[in-house]
Amino acid sequence: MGELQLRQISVAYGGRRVLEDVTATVMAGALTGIIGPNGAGKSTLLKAILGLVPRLRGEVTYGGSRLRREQVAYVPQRQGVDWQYPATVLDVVLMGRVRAMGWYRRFDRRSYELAQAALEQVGMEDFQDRPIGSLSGGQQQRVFLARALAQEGEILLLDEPLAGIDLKNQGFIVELLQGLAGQGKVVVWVHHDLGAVLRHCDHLLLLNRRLVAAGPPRLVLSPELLRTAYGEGLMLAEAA
Amino acid sequence: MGWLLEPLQFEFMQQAVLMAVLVGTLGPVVGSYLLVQRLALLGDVISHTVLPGLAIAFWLGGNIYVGAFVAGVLSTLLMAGIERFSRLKADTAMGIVLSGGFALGITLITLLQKHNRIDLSHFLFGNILSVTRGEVIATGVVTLVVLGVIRLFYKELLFYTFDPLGAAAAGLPVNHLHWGLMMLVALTVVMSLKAVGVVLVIALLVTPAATAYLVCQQLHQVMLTGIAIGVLGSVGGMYLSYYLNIPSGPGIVLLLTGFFVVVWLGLNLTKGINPSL
Repeated sequence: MGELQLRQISVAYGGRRVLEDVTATVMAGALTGIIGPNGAGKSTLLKAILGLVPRLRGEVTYGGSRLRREQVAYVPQRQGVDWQYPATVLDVVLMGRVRAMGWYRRFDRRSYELAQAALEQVGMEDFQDRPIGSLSGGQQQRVFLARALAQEGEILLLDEPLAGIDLKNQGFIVELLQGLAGQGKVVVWVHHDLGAVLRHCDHLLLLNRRLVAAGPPRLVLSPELLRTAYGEGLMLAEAA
Repeated sequence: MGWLLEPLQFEFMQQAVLMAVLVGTLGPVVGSYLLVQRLALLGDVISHTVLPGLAIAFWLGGNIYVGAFVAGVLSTLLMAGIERFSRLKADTAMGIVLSGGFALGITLITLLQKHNRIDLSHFLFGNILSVTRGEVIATGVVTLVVLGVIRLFYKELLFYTFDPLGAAAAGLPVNHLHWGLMMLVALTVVMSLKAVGVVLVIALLVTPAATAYLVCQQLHQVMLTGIAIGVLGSVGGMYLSYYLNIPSGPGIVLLLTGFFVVVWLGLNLTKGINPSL
């Protein structure tokens, strides 16, 4: 168990700064949400932590040493992949074991067991032979979560896991994430709006290219801080 | 059965059958990866841009297949370069590279034709009945290599082609996987030239895999079913070429297209009768 330290992370796309000097500490054992307006750099921050986008500067450490990708299970945005891909639910969950298995080797017994266990954990064990194209959005997201679980990472980074998902599945997923945090994992998720679901987070990072605020929801979700991050437009939208 | 077996007494027909089986196998397997990545047209770009490489290699007295392969790989680099260093998107880069490369190829071959006996139409539309023993052996070796590579890296390629971002996050070398796949596509295109020709190689890559995709739920099933369709179409097209005296490329592609239409219509008609299917 350790903490994830982000120090002065800066990222630019094509000369335009999208993240500026983001420094934050993310505790293990707590559910951490990243919020902020569109274009605030929320997804980019996850990618920068993983080194999927080049960092202008800054470093990420976990438990005091440099973060390694195999410590992280990343759940990208569900809309980013083609769900008509010819694969079954089990195929996708097993992808979480590809790196652990190593090159040239087929999935071993343990990988299948971990995949099964992960599917049970997300309540999708009856769907393992189904083509992924036949699933609903909520089920697809559960499969993505199972893949992350099968990866056995100590750190979970999730990009908008609740986007386009019905309330029942949203509740299930948030509960699952809370449970994982309860087991001592670092769980960080990007959320796309300011819904009530954020109250379930232990810790929030409010982002708008810079870190505007960090702390428990009751402090971060204050009108002044939100106005700083979202601008006056937010209040107009709420009044409407 | 006579019409099926009789032509096989000729050695050139035996070699043509072998060639048909090989390219009918290679195309659908490699093409499955293009299909699931929505890169089908990339196969078309590579196939058209191998032509200048082929011509230059011929002119220099080198191996035309090596020249074609080098040109095919260069064209994918060029497209990636245009995308990287401009605001243009992939489809536009493809359009530019495909037409430019094809025009250069036709120009070079036409110039060469004046001095040497090199028949442009063989490369454009395929002439499977003229394959040599050496070409069959080379294609056989390439087929074994390609299938071996895909088997070795199957789980990584599945992950990468489904979810490139997730694969990169898991620490897979996605750039190597991408360029490895591009090399496999270029190899497949080059080895299929003699059978179907540059203009129609795309059909061998895309159509059998697409037909299989309509009825299969897993990538390896798409590949295996695609092979069955690809081999049937290639061998059948070769017979069409023999009996109708047409270039082998159109014969093969017409059959492959026919299979696709039958499966596609069949599926839609059965759906109409029983919507639960």
